[in-house]
Amino acid sequence: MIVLALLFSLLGFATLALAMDRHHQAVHRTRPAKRRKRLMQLGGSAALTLSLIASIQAWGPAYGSIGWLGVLSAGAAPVLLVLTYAPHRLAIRRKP
Amino acid sequence: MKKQGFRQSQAGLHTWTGLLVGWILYLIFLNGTVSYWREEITRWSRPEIAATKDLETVARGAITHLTATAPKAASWTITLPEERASGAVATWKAKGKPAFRRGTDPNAVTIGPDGKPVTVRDTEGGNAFYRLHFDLRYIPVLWGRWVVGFCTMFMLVAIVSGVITHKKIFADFFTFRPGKGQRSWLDAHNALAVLSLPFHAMITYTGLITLMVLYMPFAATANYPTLKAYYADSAPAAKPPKPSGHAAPLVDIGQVLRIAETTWDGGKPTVIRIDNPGDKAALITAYRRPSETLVDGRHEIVLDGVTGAIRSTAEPSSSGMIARGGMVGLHAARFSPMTLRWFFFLSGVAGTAMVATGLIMWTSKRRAKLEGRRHFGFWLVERLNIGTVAGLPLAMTGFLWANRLLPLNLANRGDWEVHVMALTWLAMLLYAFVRPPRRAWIEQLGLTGLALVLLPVFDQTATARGLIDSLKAGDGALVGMELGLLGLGAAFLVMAWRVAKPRAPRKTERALAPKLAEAHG
Repeated sequence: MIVLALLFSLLGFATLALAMDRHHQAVHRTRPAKRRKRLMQLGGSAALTLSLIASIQAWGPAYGSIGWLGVLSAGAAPVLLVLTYAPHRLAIRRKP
Repeated sequence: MKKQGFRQSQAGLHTWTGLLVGWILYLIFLNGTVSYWREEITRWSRPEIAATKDLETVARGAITHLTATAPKAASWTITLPEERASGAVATWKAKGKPAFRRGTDPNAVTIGPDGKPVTVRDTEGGNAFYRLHFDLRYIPVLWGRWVVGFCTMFMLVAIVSGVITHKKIFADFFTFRPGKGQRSWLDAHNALAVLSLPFHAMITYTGLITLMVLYMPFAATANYPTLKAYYADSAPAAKPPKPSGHAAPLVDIGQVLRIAETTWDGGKPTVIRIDNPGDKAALITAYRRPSETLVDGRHEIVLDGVTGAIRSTAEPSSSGMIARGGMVGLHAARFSPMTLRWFFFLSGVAGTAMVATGLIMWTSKRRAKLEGRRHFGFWLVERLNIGTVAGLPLAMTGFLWANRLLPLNLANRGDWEVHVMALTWLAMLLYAFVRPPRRAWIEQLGLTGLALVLLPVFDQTATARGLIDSLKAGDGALVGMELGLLGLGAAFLVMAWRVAKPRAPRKTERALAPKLAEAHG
């Protein structure tokens, strides 16, 4: 469950980062379309919410909400590092 | 225009409060972070004694020892090993003597997992770092706590003003631009601060709360004649009964453990105090392990020492006590399960690195402006940065080496381990003032890395509890310690290497640079 929480956090932050013009450009060389941007923001936030639910599942509501904050930090840091050193790794396949 | 003025004033506030207390904050953050492994470090510091889960054998052993050495004592106190700790301590207080407070208790004896007394080296172990992070050393404890409180208050100021100063907290959320001097330091400082911001704010605020009665005693002093009276009322201790003078056997200690377990839903005691042992008026008080509750505070059961009947139970009950206890619990993370503990630790590392990058940024920002001119303030800050950011970890590693190398029969050995730490730090501070700064950085970081990496090597070759032995024994805590020392050492060596050979900007970064500049306007 903790691994799942971490994965959701990682996914959430990666998606949120890609919803930003600068990072989308670094990864895909283009700015995201408005709709795509909106979708990614929603998806990213949803993934972070799922990460909270998984944390609560793993640790219970009291420790889980504390642990989630740690999971958030631990998920965001790798996204930052990948965007810095290998932005292309974050590329997701374009929609047809 | 007005808004700009506000932000600039906050930037100034952030820079100067940060610098004023930065070095002590670094010490507090670093030692506090390390203290999340306090029990593990203590275990590592006392290789004589193995871990055990069998509390009953240990408790029985302690009772046997106390019955033989101090049958007529006013009270016995048995400290049982916590989940992550090893070894019990049995001690006693003679009739009419005050309770023992600080230093080495002459009556205390360590009890091993087999229930027999063992000789362990005189060491503070993880407690040395733990106490350093809020008591400091070599000055009266209360002064130390005031200094730490002062710095913590400014940390809170720095956090708030830092968030206001940060121009693009969301736009730069994932931004790190390496190889760009001052810009990179700012990015790193921002990323370390923002990504763990909830932790930084929590740990700083709850840190003040742990010592709130010291810093803000007015609510207590307005309602009580003295602070002592307030403490006595807020945590009433069961008054030890007068001994009856009639001998009676003590209730079986195993039964006490079982009663505690039923009352606390499987919980275990950390300390058992027995007043009037061997007397008909014996009274047993069991205190619950702090690792079992988020809310810090006294959770206790008082038992009749002869029949084992429960006299009373207590736990923090008023909302004020629970709020404070919850915050203290959150700060110290004694409750924390292992994975959660790692998150606490990593956030603490981020906080330490945030303070360090902040300190370094102060010099990196001014170096360009000075263009090689001499400047006393700059010189002082630069050297103090080296001696603290790189020198303090080396001093702490020196403590661990002293734990291994000082002769076991040295008088006040435990104090000497701390003296070695202090002297190493002092030496590193002086060293930073006499060497060219870049050389000093490389040498101190490299030395720290080497000292850390060589510790597991020493343990493997010279002790019976090296990495391989602990792996074979399945002792996770000690395996973690050895791997942790190796990992930290490697990190310091990499830092030393990076200072020695600054990396040229890479192709992708060079290609991206104009775009980034454009994106930032």
